[in-house]
This record gives sequence, structure tokens and C-alpha cells, in this order.
Amino acid sequence: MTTINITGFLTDFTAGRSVITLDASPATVGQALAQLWQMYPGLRDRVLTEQGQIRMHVNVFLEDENIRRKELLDTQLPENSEITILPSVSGGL
Amino acid sequence: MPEINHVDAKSGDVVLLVGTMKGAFLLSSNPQRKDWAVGGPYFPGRAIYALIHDQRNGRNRVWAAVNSPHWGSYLSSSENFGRDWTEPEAYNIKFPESADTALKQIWQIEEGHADDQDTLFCGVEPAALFRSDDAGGSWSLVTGLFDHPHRPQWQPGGGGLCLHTILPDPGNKQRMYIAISTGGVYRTDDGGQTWSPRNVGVRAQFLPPDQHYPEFGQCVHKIVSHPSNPARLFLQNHWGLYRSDDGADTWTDIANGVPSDFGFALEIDPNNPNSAFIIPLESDEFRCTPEAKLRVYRTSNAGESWEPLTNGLPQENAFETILRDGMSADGLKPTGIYFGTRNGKLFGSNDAGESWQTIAEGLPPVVCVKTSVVD
Repeated sequence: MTTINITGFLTDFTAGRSVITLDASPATVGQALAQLWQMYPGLRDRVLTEQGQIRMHVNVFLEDENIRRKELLDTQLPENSEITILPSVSGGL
Repeated sequence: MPEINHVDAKSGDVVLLVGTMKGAFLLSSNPQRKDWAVGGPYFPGRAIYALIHDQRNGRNRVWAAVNSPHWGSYLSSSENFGRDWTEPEAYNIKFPESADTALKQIWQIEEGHADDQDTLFCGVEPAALFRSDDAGGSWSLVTGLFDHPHRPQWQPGGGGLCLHTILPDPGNKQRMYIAISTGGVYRTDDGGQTWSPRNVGVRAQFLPPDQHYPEFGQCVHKIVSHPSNPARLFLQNHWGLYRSDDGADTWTDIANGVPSDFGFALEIDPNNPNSAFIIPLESDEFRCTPEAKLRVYRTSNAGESWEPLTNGLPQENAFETILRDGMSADGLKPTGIYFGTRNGKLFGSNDAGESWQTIAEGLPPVVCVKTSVVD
């Protein structure tokens, strides 16, 4: 089972839900997020660019590790994983 | 978060649409333009670089360019002066997935030619133009400009590589001008299919001396024209103040008697095609008003001379910066002219600049001021 944690204003696009559980078992972070966009279409453009890249000031964590230090969206997903989407401190003004 | 107030603007009222680095504000006043009600902040925390009030075809629609460094940029609209705003699931301004770039910010929203009552244009960063022909319902990239061979050579200025000015020619619906920092002025004469640089006489002071007048690549900050004389344009440059009388084919230096020809904001007087307003800044390094005096300069003879307007504006300890979209005029008589500063102040004149009042203070840094007279 894969769990995705949604934070802050992004929950405006998940009917207020901050913890999303995926039914299927995606193999990668990218596949997990693709399922998430299917469930909640309003999230996709706020997290990814037009080219499907994670926005520069958005961080995606697999457990406690930032996937920017791994294989980004191609990062393999173990069973029973937890993904968290967070705004980066770098984007603040 | 403070309580959000809303304005109720009725026919004949003037609405100021003020975009700041931390939200949008809508202000309204009767035609006397002395007392202003303030609505907002809308989109608190978001940089609102562009606003427009589209009243064509019976609409009462305010558009806002909502920018977030974290979550990207999109256009939102309101049909009731800010009480409700759209929040699109899918962003409405997007480069094609196959493009070599992603949208960074939306910088400008502009109406199309008067014959095209449902056409809107959007200028973005990295510099590109988008067009809608269904009043903002859908948008497409203007590929004639995106595919221009000069595009790879356009360079970002301090604020980013932005298409910040869109100026349809009211006398020729096939002609339109755009301005890019730093790319210069481009003009289309075939409705956007092809574009050519129009920068003869405009200098690029940041290039080596023998390259000060390139074909393109200038950091043009703003261009304006009057609908009664579309062949005449005024241009505020990154160092340089110019006028063209031939549809931007050539530009003439008109920095006559101004304390600095560096600045951003420039606005035409809707009631006088020979009159324009600028707010000089000391230099590209300091970027504050010269001598710590907040002075608007006005020409009434198409740039042959400029006079300072200071009545009601601070003349000491005024370290103010007014950005390229920070000034706007209404079409009432006498002309109302308004500008906002990076220190969060909003000033206005209801007599074509003869006297000024402080309309608001303590706003977040102002990046956009637009006006509308409600139908």
C-alpha cells in the first residue's frame, strides 16, 4: 500500500484530505503520482511543470529522503511506502 | 489574515486594479476620484503581476495573473469584483509538453483589437505570447513569435526574461507590438504569424560601446501609444527615453531635461496624444527616485520637453521605485493618473498630474496598477 501526504493549500484540491491511500501498487514515485493526478486532477499542474518535471521549489519525499537525491520520479517504490509533497523553503519571498 | 473587504463599483465608477507581490487589491471611487474604498487582499501570498477588467460583450470580468514560486502560475477571473475567483484544476497558460521550456510567470494580460471582442493576449516569462479568442476560456501559444530565430539569444534582465508589454495597433488589426526584457520591441504586421525587431535608435548600454545599438536585445521597459495616433509610440528603456513617429521603424531620443533617462513606468494621457508621464529613477544600480524626491514627469509636446509634477508628492526621504506596470491612467476628464511603489504606496491624481494624493500606504510591493471605468 502506498500513502501520499498532502500538505497546506494542496488539500483544497483533495476535498480536504491530507492522507491519500492508493489502491494499486505503483512501482515508482512517478507512477504513484500519476495515480494521484487521476484521483485529484487539480494537483498535477501545481506540482509538475508542463514537461512533467517536479517544480523547482517543490519537494517530494519518499519516507524521509528527498527524491531529488535519488532518481526523481523514477525512484523505485518499496511496498508500503509513504510519499510526502511539501513546498521547499527555497521558494519563499 | 485580515478580514477581506470587497468593493461595490457601479456604472461610472473608477476601479483601480493593484497587483502586489503578496496579493491583489481592487479600489473603487466615484468619478470625483477623491475617496477610495479598498477591497482585498485577494490571493494573499501570491505575486499578482497583471490584472485587467474585461467589459467587452457585456462582461464584467476581472482577470488576475496569479504567480507562485512554488506552485506555478495561472490566470484566475472574477465576475463580482473579487468576491469569488476561479481556481482552475488544469492551468490555463501552459507551454506545449514538447516545448523546451516551462512557464515561470505570467507578466501581462491585454485585450486584442477592438474588432476582436473576445480576444485576449498574455505575455509570460520566459518571453512568449499566448492568445485566446474565446474571452479566456482557452489559450494557445503564438508560435510565430515562439519560433523566432532570435529567441535563443534573448537574455533575462534582473527581473527575468519577460514579455511584459502587449500593444495592439487600434488602426490596423494585423499589427501589434510587444516588448521583451531583454529582447527589445517586436512588431507583427500579419496578425502574429511573423515578427520583426523594431529597435533602430534604442541603445543597449550594458553591451560594449561598439554594440550599443543592436538590431535586438535591448532591455525595453515599456512602450505606449495613443489610439488617435497609433504610428506614434513612446518608449522607456533601460537607460533611454524615446519616441517613434513611424510605427517603431525608428526611434528618437527625447530625454530632454529629465533628471535621469533610466526608469520603468510610462503612460500615455488618454485625453492627449502628445502627453505622456514617466517616473525617472536615478540609475540601474540604485533604482530609486533621484535626489530622494518623488517626481512624476509629464510631457505635453510629445517629448520635446518634460516638466516635473510634485504637488502632493514627497520631496525628501522618498526612496521609491515604480516598476514597468506600476502606472496607469483613466480616460475621464481631467485625466486620472495613478501609480504604486515598491514600498507599498499608491498615489493618484484626478487632474492630469497637477496635484496628487496618497491613496493607500502599507501595501505589499506594488508591481501592477491598472484602471477601469465601469460601464
